[in-house]
Amino acid sequence: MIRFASLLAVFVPISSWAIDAQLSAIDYIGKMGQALQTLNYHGSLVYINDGRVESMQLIHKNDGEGEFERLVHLSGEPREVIRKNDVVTCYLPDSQSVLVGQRRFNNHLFAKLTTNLEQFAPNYGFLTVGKSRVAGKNAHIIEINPKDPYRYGYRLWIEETSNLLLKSELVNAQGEVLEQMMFTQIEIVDHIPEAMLKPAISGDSFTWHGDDEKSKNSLDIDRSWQVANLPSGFVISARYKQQMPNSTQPAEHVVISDGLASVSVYIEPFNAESQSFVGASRMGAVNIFGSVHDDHQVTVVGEVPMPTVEMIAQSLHYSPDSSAEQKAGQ
Amino acid sequence: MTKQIDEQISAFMDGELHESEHTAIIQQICRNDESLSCWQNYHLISDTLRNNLPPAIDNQFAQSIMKALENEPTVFAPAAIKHKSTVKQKIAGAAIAASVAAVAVIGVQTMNQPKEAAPSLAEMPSTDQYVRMEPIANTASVNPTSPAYVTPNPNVVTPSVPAMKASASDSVPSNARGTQIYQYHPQLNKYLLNHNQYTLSSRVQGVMPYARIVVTPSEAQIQEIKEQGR
Repeated sequence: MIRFASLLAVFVPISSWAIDAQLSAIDYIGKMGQALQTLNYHGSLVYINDGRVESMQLIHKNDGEGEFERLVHLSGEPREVIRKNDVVTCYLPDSQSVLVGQRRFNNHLFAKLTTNLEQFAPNYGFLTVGKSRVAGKNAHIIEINPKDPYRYGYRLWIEETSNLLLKSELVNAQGEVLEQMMFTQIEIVDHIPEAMLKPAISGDSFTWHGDDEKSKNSLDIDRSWQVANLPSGFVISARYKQQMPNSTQPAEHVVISDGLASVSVYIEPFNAESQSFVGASRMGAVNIFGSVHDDHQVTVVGEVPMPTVEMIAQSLHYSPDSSAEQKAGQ
Repeated sequence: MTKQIDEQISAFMDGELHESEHTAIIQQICRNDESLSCWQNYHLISDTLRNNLPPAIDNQFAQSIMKALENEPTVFAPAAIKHKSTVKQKIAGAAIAASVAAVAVIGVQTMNQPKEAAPSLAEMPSTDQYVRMEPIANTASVNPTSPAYVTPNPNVVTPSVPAMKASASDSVPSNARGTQIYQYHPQLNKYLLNHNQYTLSSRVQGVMPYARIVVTPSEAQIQEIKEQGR
């Protein structure tokens, strides 16, 4: 009897060990999100995309009053992205323009990531696969594996004490790395001087593009646009009116997400001068698909595989009847 | 006379006839029926002695074949026209046949190459309004071998990171497999920038969306990349 029980003791914990391993991976990711948001740090990183290597500098500050982030392009054109809480400003000196807008992130879904494993289990598997050393620091390697070909996977190197993200890879279903980022040097500090968060470019002479009053009016959002075919776990998580640069009319911006990946659908009416885009295109890990629906240009953009953006573009439809019930949800 | 010819035929069969007389004796056998039957008989004797006979012998075999051929209807097909083709003609014929075959093969090859025209999408309009990008010959799939950032530190355990494979429960839709991917066009910049700037879905991507913004090429850069042939 005793022997049998001890044998059982060997077998039973294996399944719970697997769940523990998943929870531990999710745990690390949760702590990472927390660290990225609350710590003061700066460092240099390399970013590899489409075979091109670029170097950048990242500065992050959270002084209790607000969160600030600045990413500077060190190679090539001196572009910058500066974020103050939810306002994101892009300085693009090569096109003499500055883009300003409100960031919309599905924080509620991310919060679920840490507490609700079932939400992601059908679509992603979470694994801790070992340890490594990046930027002179030890890191846990976490893998997020997609369970179908409609999404990408991730590999994260999370520093073992601070839980900062030292390195990350975006991976497709075949295991090919589509995009990667790695810090070569990173430092956590108590205080970040103001000067480090100021843009090196003066955007005064540039053209500023941003949200205007039209786009801020959320009552105007047309909720009749629906997507018939969505891969498992993808839902329409938000709808906005978005002012696009050099456009008279704001676009309908539908955000579709599965909690980790996101897809934006831009729906714009045609005007006399507009040139349209139909078909598939790609910029690095981001796939784009354009199509035409009822005199509207539809552009679907996302860091998901091509079949996903194509499926969304082609199953988008306008159903006025559904808008009433959709007003209740999204 | 006949006996002399018979002897000549016999010598010819044994290879003992002088070369200068070969032509004459061959002509004799072909033109003279008696000489012909003598020729046949000598061969029959020779085969019998050597035990080379077939199970049944039909003396009239050759004649019956000739008769059957005569009785066959004439088919007016190019192949029925018999040309006494010389060696030269034979070589020329072979060359023509070979070149025709080569053209056929090339023709088939060009037909099999994928046409670099518009993709076969259900919604593809054919007006000039729409920007048709240039298709890329082979999509640049980034496959850098993940460098092993490993130092010989005994305290750090670095297992080989297994290749991530998705257990595909859904099969990829067939139209997606045939999707022609067009080269990126700067006209799409505004969507790309907007998506990466504002649609941040989760922190697992870290700073990647902003990195994408910062490296999104401008129109001038795309032109430069094209010229460099990358």
